[in-house]
Amino acid sequence: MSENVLVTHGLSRAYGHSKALDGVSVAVRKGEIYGLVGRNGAGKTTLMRLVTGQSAPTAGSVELFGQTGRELLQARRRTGAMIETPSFAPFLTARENLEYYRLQRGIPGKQAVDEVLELVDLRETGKKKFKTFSLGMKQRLGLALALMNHPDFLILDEPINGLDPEGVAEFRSLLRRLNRERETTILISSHILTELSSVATCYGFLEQGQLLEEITAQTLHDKCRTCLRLSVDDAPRAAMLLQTRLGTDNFQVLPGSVIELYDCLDRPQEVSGTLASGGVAILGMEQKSADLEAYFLNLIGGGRK
Amino acid sequence: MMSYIRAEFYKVFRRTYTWAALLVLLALEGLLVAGWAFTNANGNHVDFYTGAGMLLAMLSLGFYATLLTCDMVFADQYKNGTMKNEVAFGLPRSRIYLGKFVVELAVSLLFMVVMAGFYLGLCWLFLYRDPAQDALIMQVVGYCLLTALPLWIGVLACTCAFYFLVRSNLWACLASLCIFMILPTAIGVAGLIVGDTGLRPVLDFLYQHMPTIMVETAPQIAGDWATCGQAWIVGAIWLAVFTAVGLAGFRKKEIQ
Repeated sequence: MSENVLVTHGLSRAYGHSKALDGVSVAVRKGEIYGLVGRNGAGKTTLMRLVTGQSAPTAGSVELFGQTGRELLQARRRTGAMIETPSFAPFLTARENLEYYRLQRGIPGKQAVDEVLELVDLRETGKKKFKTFSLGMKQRLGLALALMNHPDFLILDEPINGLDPEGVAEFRSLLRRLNRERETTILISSHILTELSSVATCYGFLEQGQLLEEITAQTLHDKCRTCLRLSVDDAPRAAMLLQTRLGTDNFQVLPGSVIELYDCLDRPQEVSGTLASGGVAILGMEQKSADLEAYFLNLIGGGRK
Repeated sequence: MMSYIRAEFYKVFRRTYTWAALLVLLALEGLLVAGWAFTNANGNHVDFYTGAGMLLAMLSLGFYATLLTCDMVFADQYKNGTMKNEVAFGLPRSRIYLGKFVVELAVSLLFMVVMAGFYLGLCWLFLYRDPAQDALIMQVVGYCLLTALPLWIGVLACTCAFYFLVRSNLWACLASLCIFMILPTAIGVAGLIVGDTGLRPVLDFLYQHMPTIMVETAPQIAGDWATCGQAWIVGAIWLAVFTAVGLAGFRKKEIQ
């Protein structure tokens, strides 16, 4: 069993009568890229703020690297976080801002600043003050700060906001590299689900402060794969025909005489012909494919009363 | 803690604001002494005794200076949203609070030494001197500074607490001003209203031990070491109370 980097136990946060987070229990294992998916106000940022200690939970607890209580402070030194908009002293340059945090965090060696500026491609900003940075530059600097202490666990809230397409691609490859080479565990939220799906190895779906589902990317992939969705009058007979005549058992029989067939996707006529010749009436046939976005929308749609 | 303090010094002295503020204050002092020197050149007789004596009238400015130094060190951390960078890294909130307070104190002392030194230096150089009188006024100045110092530190702790507890710098300044400027007046007025009741001596005692009142009366009682000792006790009480309140509030504060 792999080691858990972050575990939350029934984490809740209320503001007055409104519950921003309601009994959320998540587990992020070492080496995972955990994607937090949810609409605006679903509780993604609140969860991250509770993990980083910016806000105190009204109930529940946070366990980081197996540490809780006062030891959490020490465990947070092994993390790097970028939550909401990257914030820095507006009157300092990128280098000065990072140098300030380097001194504050006791990170040895001035080269740590240069290395991380190089990594996020901000080395040439010179005397430009933070207040004159574009949103993309601010995001890069925020990422640089999060990476400066070589964290074992990265917490990133909407990190690609404001990045140009090239920046997004670089960022994606940087995350993969950190995850692969340094075994950095990553908790990331993004509204751009296509981007999230290209890096995440596990997902947590939040809706109205509650965790609807935790699922691995592999399971999600299995659930979302493309198939031929057949609606027939006699599902057992249709299943038998698929096995005997088309030689496949790569299908699922669902309630309501529906079959999802994962083979023969390029030969729908052959499938319909085979079933029809075997005496099965096809009431409907469509090619279905779902992605993370469709899965999420389906999930929250299902969750709605 | 040392790393934190070092970083805060780095930030403060990288700010143009810090140097600009110091430069403006020194320029104003220079202007004052230059004015006197100019009138002296035209038949007036302003001496070092008078010049240094002006310092005593300006002791109350030390309370207002706490607003400036807190603003320099705190650097709009709530407005800029930078406090989250410190908290999220797992720095203890007590370290953040005390670290900033120590730097505010150090910057305040540095400003005080530089400004007082510069002012007295200019007076020494450009005004008429009388060794006997000058030694006397320097003793009074020394006494008053020694009495005012703990009271300034106490008020600095009050201002620091409000900077940590109130999101807006403006409201933090106003709250601090209310405590160290308006509260003594309110206590004084309350003392007049209650008349000769049992409450009057308590209000009088409180009034006389308000930092601003103690500093205002210090030049008249120069050499009274008992009062100087009381000033240190009052300063220590303000420091302890406001640091405790500020720390307790900041520990629970939601960081945006």
